Amino acid sequence: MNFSYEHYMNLLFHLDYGKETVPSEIAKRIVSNAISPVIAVTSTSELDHHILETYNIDSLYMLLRFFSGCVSDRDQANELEKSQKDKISSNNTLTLPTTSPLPKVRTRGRSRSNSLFQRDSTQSQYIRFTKPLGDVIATKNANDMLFDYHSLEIYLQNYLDLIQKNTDDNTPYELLKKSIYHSFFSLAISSTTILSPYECFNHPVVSLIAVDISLGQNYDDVRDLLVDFKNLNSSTHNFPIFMNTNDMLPVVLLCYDDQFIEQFETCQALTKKIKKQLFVECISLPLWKDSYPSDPQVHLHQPVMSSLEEMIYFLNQPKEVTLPYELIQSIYNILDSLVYNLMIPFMKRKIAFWDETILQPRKSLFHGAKFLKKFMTKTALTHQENLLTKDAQGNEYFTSASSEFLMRKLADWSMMLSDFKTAYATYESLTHDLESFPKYSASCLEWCAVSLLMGAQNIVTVKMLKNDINPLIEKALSTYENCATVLPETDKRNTDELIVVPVRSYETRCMILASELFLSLSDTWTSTPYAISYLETILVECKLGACSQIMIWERLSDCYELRVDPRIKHKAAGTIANTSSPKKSSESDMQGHVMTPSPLTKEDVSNDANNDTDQDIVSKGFTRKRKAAFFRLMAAKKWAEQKRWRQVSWCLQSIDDTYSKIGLADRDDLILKKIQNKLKTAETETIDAGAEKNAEVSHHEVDSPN
Amino acid sequence: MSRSRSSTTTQSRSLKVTGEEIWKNKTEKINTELFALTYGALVAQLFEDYDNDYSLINERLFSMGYNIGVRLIEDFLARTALPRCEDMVRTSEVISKCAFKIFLNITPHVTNWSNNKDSFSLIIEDNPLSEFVELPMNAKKQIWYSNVLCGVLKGALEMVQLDCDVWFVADILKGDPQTELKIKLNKILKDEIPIGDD
Amino acid sequence: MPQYFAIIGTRDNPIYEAEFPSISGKNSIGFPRDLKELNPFILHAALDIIEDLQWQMNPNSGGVTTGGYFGTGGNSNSNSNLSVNNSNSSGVGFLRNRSNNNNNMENCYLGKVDHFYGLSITAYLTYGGMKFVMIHGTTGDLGGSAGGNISGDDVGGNASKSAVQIDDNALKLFYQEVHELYIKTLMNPFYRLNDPITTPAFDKRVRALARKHIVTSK
Repeated sequence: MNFSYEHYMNLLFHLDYGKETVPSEIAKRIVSNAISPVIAVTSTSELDHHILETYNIDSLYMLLRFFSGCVSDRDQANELEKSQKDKISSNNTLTLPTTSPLPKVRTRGRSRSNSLFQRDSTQSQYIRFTKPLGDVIATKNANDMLFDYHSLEIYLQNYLDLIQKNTDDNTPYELLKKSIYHSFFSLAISSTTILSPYECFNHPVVSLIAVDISLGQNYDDVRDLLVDFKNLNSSTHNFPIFMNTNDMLPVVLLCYDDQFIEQFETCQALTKKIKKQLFVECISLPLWKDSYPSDPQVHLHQPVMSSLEEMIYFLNQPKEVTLPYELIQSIYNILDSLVYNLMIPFMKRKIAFWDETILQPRKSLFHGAKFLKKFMTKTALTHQENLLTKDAQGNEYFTSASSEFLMRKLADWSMMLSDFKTAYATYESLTHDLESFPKYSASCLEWCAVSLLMGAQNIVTVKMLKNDINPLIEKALSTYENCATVLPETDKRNTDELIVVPVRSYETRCMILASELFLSLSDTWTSTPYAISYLETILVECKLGACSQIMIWERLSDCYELRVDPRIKHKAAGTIANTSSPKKSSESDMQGHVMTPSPLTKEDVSNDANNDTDQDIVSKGFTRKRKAAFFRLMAAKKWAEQKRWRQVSWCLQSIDDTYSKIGLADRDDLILKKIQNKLKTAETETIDAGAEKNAEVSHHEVDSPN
Repeated sequence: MSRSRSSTTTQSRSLKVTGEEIWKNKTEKINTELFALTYGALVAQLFEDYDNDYSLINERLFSMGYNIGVRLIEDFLARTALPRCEDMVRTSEVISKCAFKIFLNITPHVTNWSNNKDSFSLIIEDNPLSEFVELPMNAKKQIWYSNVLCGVLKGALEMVQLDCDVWFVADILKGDPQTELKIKLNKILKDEIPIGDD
Repeated sequence: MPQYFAIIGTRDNPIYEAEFPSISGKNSIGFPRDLKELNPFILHAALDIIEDLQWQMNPNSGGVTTGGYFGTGGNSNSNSNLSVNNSNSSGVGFLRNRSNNNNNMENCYLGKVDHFYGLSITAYLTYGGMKFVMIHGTTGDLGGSAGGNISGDDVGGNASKSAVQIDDNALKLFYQEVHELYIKTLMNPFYRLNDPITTPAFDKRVRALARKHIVTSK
């Protein structure tokens, strides 16, 4: 079975993959996933109940949640034991075609290759699911932060507890630690379902409306639900003015029992009728079938990513969920058609439309007349104040229909579809248009840089980093900062609490995002310093829980580890194979070295390097291994303060070589020995004291994350 | 001691001049550091080879010196063309002003004469052998770092019919205020034909 | 500002360490305990950057690789507050001009090479590749407050506000004289390269030099 994206992100539950490697640009995939289109799932209570009865899953939304992530990976299906798979592969081909009434999406030949190792990450489409739009809006709060450091910390604490439980000191930890950081990272950049007024990554693109045909639900139910959805704008009390149901694609999902041919026929008839009368597409899903119970049951792994609160819930209540293999395939099939036949074309249509109606007129108007443009925008400034609209709470936003917001949407959607070029150009022009609205322009600046980093593969040069990307991020950060400080002078203390914090969360996300994307570039020698400076700024300026901070410290160490001059990369690969083998393989690929990512390379390389890696004079000064070790030590020290002994142990293991060689490891007056001693006593204690006390301790820590 | 005091001084002055003359014009020089390091390396190697058996190391150094001394005297007399010394006082002057001057470019101070003038001390300042040396703590008590000098003197004197005991009594390296080397005449050897005598 | 000085051998092993507390009135202020435990590691971490500088030192190689960082600016001497350099964060800002007006021992002095949460690290490189390094603690009264927590919010990392004022000239003198002492030590036939220097005499002399050149009394 292949090592997949999902395996990596949840490596804790797939420890047997602990020695695999991941591509260096893994961060790009995580970002793609984090900003992937959101599908809101609405279902009738009858349907939810029916699902609960048959599959012991609370609702259709909960069920679909297991299938978010990279659609083409079909990773839930991979959960099936190989032996079982072989058994069913023969009859599978017979049953599958009947499951989807829509034309089957098998034309994209390479879709089945694992997204983790695809050369071109844009080939994979990620999706996310969320609650019905009405629910999402109801939980909205003007002061919502993009990510909530407190919940992030609690999540992390839970996750670390789980690690403590599931691993021991001998577990291969290098990849696991990276995986832990990346899952932390993915939650930090997209950890809530909140709807930001300044960007629309979390705004649902598709609204899936599901009814249960097997229970006799019919056209009227669909129509009612659809009308409800369409009227959300007016019927909901606090419907955000920056959103509009017209920009969301409603799709009807008809769930039926495949046992009864007449149900299938009903679906087909209904599909036609709904399309004709309501102008909405339908998809049919054979959610039930008599043969399902006898089909091989697949244990579902937890979703790669969803909101933080739900993650915490999941970690706390591990629940075995199984579904029949055939049903899983059916669900992937309908998702395929939903995504590739409906959602993506819809988004492309919209983008084209906005491009034609908003972007092009602007361009042509100002084409070749920069002066005029400046002049126009200046005079327009006075009017711009009126462009904002007050919502019910008195907050001023661009409305969903304003050309500014539509442009932003155009850019965001281009990002979602991995069209980074369009995204960049649009963000770029938006930053100028929105200059007088710092909250909006800051976000545009940020995503301008992100789109550059996401899109550019190896073509990012030192100059680009220095002159284009970094200034963009710096500018975004300072703009965010200004947003935080430009506040009414009166009762500043009060506003600090209310407004500064949400803006700060944008700033933090911006930095953590940028740092990770910098690290995914191929020339790590030039890019890591930027990553390091962002991470350090986060440590100094941003509010984070104690464990979250240590994660950043660990990442700093990783950064230094990655800082290798390209000229000696092939040499350094041998010595750093332990900690950053993924890079090794990708790097050697690129340089066309005859190297296979196998343990053998280590020997080959060291032979290459004059049999003397210690005194390898060529690489002197071209690495930052000692820095890396030092930051790992700092992390170990801090983990010890938090009593995270597994982490301490792993950190110490990874730096042991470096320090014992030079005699710093066993000096009683130094920190390293002290941590080792603490670890020893802690380990003997935990053996003595039961798990009960452990739980108590960790519970206690949750309350005081700072 | 019937001779006048002044004659002794003239004699010794001329010895001094001879020594300086030869040092200046007839001696091939070697860099001090190289010299000191060479000797140092040798001693350090002995430390290792004899596993810090200090009395044995002292002995070794002495015997090495002896072997040097028996050869060096030949060279010394050939260069200086000095006549036979009439007494130990004269001998001490030759050693200090000529021998040490020519070979090591130092002039140890002669002092501590015994009453019967058969033993004296050489106070060596700035011993070029031990310029950078700092003895290991546990060796400090027992080792005579420059013991080779004793051997050299012993060997050389023996070749001119002077059976002497030569030994260090103090060394700055051991924390003493000065470095002092003692030479004591046992007897004058009569039965051998002097080598290199004119 | 307390200072921690160490000589690092060619195998990264510390061969001599000393802390010079600063003197304030009658009290001498050393590093807080957790820094004492950490100092050797901080220095060890700086070695990467020192080596980086070391191998760029040949003026002929200037500009080949470092793309514009090399040899900019011409005022490496003088009493400079080097807090502008951002070496810890970037590793690019630390390059000091040392290509001109240097005689022998002059270019052994690398100046400030690194910093870590308000601590500055200066370095001096002997021709044999021994590294003399020093951590300069935070100035004056910070002795107490910097103690407890270097972990986060209260200390400025790179953008550190309390960057230490380093008197380059005095420091250079100190390093040079220690270098001479070191050479003498090395000439001792019983001292072997990379062995720890344990003799009290050396320690005494180094401390005397420190008092003479760099220990501030306020």
